[in-house]
Amino acid sequence: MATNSDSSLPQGSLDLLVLQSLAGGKRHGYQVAKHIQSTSGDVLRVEEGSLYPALHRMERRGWIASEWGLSDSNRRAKYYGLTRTGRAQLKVEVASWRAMAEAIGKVIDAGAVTPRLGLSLS
Amino acid sequence: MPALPYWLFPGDDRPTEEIDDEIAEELQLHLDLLAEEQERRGLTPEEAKQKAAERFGDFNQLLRRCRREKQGDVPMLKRVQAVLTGLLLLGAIVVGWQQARIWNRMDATWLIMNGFSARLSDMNDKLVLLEPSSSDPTEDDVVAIQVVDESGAAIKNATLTFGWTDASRSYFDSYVISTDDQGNFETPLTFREKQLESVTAYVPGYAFVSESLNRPFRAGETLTLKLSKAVKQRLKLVAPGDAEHLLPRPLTNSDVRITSRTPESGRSNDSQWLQLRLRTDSEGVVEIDCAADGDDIQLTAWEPSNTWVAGPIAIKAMSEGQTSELLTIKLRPMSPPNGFRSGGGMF
Repeated sequence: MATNSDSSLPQGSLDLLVLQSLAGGKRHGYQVAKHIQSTSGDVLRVEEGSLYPALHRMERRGWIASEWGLSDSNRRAKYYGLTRTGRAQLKVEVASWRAMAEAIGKVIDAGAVTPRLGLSLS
Repeated sequence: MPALPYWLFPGDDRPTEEIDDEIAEELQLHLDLLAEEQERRGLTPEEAKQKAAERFGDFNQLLRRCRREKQGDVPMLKRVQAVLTGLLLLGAIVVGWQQARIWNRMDATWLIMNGFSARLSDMNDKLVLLEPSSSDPTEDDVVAIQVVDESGAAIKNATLTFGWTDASRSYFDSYVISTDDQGNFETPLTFREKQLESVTAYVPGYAFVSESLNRPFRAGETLTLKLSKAVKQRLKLVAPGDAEHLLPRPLTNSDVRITSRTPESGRSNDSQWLQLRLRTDSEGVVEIDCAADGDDIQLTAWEPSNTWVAGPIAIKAMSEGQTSELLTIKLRPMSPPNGFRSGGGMF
């Protein structure tokens, strides 16, 4: 299955994906990107050019907090973790996403299109 | 403990260089891990680094974006802070300048007030000096002055002029004395380090008398000033011709002062500052009523631009029934006027 970079991620989903990734524990940026990619079955791939600005923005908003630690390769790495505010925000983001997905699903279910003969949908 | 809202933290306010170093280290780790990942897929280290760099994109641009997100509103707030600080400093300078001006004005006012204060203090000191002191005269230092006429009768309301002297200068104080019924007036011989030097008595209708007080006096001693009846003498003062007036002319409407009177006895009476002001009339005539029969007097007359002197002038009494003879007196310039050759003899 082809991997989607974040340029094709649904709008507003990056914060949700990052927060959800950190809900399982502290991770540094590379680990966050890899976690999203692996748990999505290589469908979603977050571009570094979007990931790191999002991490710093969320940290400034107090959703996540960072601390320096050692990586598996024994190098200094900056680990991020959810704050209490971040957990609350994650719930909001998840609920919002589910509501939107459900609404989109309803639209899809209700709008089953049968192409007329002689009309092209493309 | 509840967390504070994030908007209370506008951003990371650490120095930009410190933030950049931190972000660069973070991004570099990611870049290196990407390269390692590519190496594990079989690329050479150089190819892996190149592949990772391509995926990563512009490192510095990403660093700047991260910095902006991290700092948030801090740079803008710092600019606002700098502007406000500048305005505050400017305001402080303006206020300080105005305060300095106010202080300068206050200082000037203070100086003026200090000046007034010093003057008042000086006046106060002088007022204090008027209080009795150990140097004030005592009864032992007082001499009585008695003004009488030729018959020994007391004369009241005589004008007395006192001459005082100290180490540096002389003073003349003239004032009208209301002597008592015996014509007496008591005066100290010394006052405020001044020594009484002379006294002159004048009463209209009498020849004025001056007396030196240099001789030692005993306590309670009385100095008797005997005044002779004066002779009324009319004098016509004539000024010599000069560059302005070619011919001799009567000295009209001019001030005249008798400067000395010398009786027949020969002892001159000085009229220093005697309050005896005379004036010629429209014909240059002045009436003398302060010298006795047989006296010689000297006088001074003033015009706006000239000062004249005359004398000695002999005063002679008329026989009873005779009218006063009008004496014509030729004046001499006290100092030769400009353009006039002294001794020209234009009379």
